[in-house]
Amino acid sequence: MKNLNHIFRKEMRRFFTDKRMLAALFLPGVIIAVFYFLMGNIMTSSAVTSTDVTDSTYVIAYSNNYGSAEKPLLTMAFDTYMQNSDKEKTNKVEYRTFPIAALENEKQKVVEGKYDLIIAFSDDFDTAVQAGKGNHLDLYYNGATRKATHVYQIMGSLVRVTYDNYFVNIDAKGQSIPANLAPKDYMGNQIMGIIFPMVTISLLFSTVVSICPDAVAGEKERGTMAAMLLTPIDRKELAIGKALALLVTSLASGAVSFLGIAISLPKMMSGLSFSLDWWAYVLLGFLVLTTLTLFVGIGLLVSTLTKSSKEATSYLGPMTVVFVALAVLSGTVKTGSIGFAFIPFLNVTSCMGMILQGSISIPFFVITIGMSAVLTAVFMFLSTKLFSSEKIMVK
Amino acid sequence: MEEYILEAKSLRKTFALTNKQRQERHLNTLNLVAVDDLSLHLVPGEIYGLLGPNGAGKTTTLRMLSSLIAPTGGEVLFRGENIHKNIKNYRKKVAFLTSDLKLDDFFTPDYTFTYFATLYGMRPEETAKRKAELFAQFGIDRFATAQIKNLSTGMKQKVSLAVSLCHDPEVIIFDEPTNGLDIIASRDVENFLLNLRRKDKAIIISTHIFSLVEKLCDRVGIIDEGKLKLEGDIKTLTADRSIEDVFFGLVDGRRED
Repeated sequence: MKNLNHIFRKEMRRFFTDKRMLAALFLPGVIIAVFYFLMGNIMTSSAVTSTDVTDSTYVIAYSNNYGSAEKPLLTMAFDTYMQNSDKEKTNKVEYRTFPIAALENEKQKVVEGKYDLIIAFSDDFDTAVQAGKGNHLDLYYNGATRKATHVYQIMGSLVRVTYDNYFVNIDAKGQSIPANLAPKDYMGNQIMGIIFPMVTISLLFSTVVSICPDAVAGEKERGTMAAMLLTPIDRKELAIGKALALLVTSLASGAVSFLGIAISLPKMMSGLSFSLDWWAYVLLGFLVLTTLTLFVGIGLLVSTLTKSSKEATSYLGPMTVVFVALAVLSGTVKTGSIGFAFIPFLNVTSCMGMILQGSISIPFFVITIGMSAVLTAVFMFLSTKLFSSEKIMVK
Repeated sequence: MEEYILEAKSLRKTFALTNKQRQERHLNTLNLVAVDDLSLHLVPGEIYGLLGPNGAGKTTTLRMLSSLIAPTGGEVLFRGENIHKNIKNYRKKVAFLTSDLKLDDFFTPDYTFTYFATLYGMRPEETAKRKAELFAQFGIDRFATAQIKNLSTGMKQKVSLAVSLCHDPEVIIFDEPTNGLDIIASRDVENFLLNLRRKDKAIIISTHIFSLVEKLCDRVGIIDEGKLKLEGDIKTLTADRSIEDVFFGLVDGRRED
C-alpha cells in the first residue's frame, strides 16, 4: 500500500511537471469551450437574437384522457405561471384538446407550427398520479422554433413541480420517445446529434492519446520500467499505481472539459433554439467522466501491450477516427432502442445525442454507464495481469 | 570450498518466434534458443567478464541472473538458494545496470534517487546517506536539483548508475557498462567498478571492449550461440596471447566449421 501511494504520487508528479502533458490534459476543455462559443455566435447571428418570447400566443394541445373533471393539473400550473411571471406579461395561451387516438395527426400540427406544444397523457393520468401510481405523459414540440422550445422548457419544469410519480417521454418498454419533432434535416438536430458527440469524443480521446502512451510504453522504451520491475515491489502495485494516477488525472481533465461544455453549450444551443435542463448537464457530466475512464482503460491496455510511445500512439491515434465514425453513425441512424445501449462506444455517442435532443431514456443511460464501467474494469484488470508477463513487460 | 554468491546452473532460455521474426532470421524453428545449458558462478570481490558477439545470449543471460526474466530451464542460486524462492529479498541484493536506461527527463536526480530508494524499501535517513555518498562520488551533487533533461549525456549516465546502485547491492550485473560514455566518464565507471570490487561486491559485466576486460576482469566467459564456449582466469587465458586473440580464435573457428 505504501508503494502504491509512492508510485501514484510519482505518476502524478510526472503529469504535472511536464508542460506538454499539462497542456494535453487541460487544453481540450478550453478548445471545447471556444469551439462551442464560436458555433453559438455564428448560429445566433443568423437566427432570432432575443432569447425571451414576447407578444405571442402559445398554442398548447392536450389529450382529453387526463382523468379529472376540469383542466389537467399541468395546464392549471401553466396558467398560474403565466399570471405570475413578469416575462410572460405580453404573452397569451390558447388550449386545444384532442382524443388520444388522434395523436399522430396532432403531432403533424406541431411540425407545421400550428401548435407549440402537445401534451399526450396516459389514460386517467391525473387520477393515477395523485393516487401515487406512476404513469406517463409525453411532450412534443418543434425545436426549430424558439417559441415552441420556450414553452417546452417551461412545461418540462412544471411537470417536475406538479407531479411526483411520472415518466416523461418513455414508452411501456422503457425506451425513449423523442420530444423534439423538428424535421430531421433541421440543422439543430444535425449539430446536436452529430457534431457535439463527434467534437466532444474526439477531444476527450485526444487527452488519452496524449497521456497514456508514455505511462507504460514510454517507460519500457526508456528502460525505467525494467528498473522498476527489478525492485522488490509487487508488480500489481506498480500497475494499480499507474492506473489510479491515469484515472485521477483524466478525471481532472474530464472535469475541465465538462466545465468547458457547461459554460459554452448554452451559448451554442441558444443559437439553435435548443436548451438543456440542469439534469441534462448532470447526465452529460457523468457521461463525460465515465467515457474518459473507459478511454483511459483502452489507453493503458494499448500502452502496456506496446514497446514504445510511438507504437502506442500509432495504435491509439487511428482509434479517434473510429469514435468520430461512431458519432456520425449514431447521429444518422436510429440508435435509440435499448439494444444499442449494449454496444460499447456507440452507446456513448448515442447517449450524448439523445441527452442534447431531450430524448434520453434513463434505462439507456444507466446501461451505457454500466457498460463503460464494466469495460473499464476489464481493461484495467487485463493491464494489471499483463504486468506479470515478461514477454509483454521486458523490451 | 569457495562460497559462490551467485551461481547459474544449466540455464536455458527459449523465445517463441513470430512468423515475421522467423522470416527475418531465416529460421524454420518455432522457438529461438537464446541461452543453452549455461553455467557460471560469481564470488565476492571479483569482476567476471562475459564476452560474445551480437546475439550470442549475453543480455539474456544477464537478465536471467538479475531476475528480470525467468529461465526456461536451470536455475539461478543466490548464496545457494534459488532466487525465485525469495525473489523480493534477492532483488534487494542485486542491481542490473544497463546503458539503455534513460531516466525521466522531467525529474531531478535527487527525486529519482529517492523514488527508487523508497521502492527498495530504504529508510529516509539511509537514503539520504547513500545519496550523499554516491552523488559526491559521481560528481552529481552539484546538479542534484536540476531537471535530468538539462544534464549532459555523461552526467545522465552517471545519474542512472547512482540510481541503479541506490540500495547498495551485493551483486552487480552490468550490461555494456561504458557503452555511449565519453572517455572521461568511461574512466570514472571503470574506477567505480574497481572500487566496488575492493568492497567485496560480486560483479558481472558484458562488453565488446577487450581492453576493458583485460583491465577490469578477474575471470572471463566467452559465450556464442547461447553456449558458454570458454571460461577461465584472465591471467591464464592471456598468458601467451591477448583476450582479443582468444575471442576471435574461438568465434572464427566456429565460422570456419
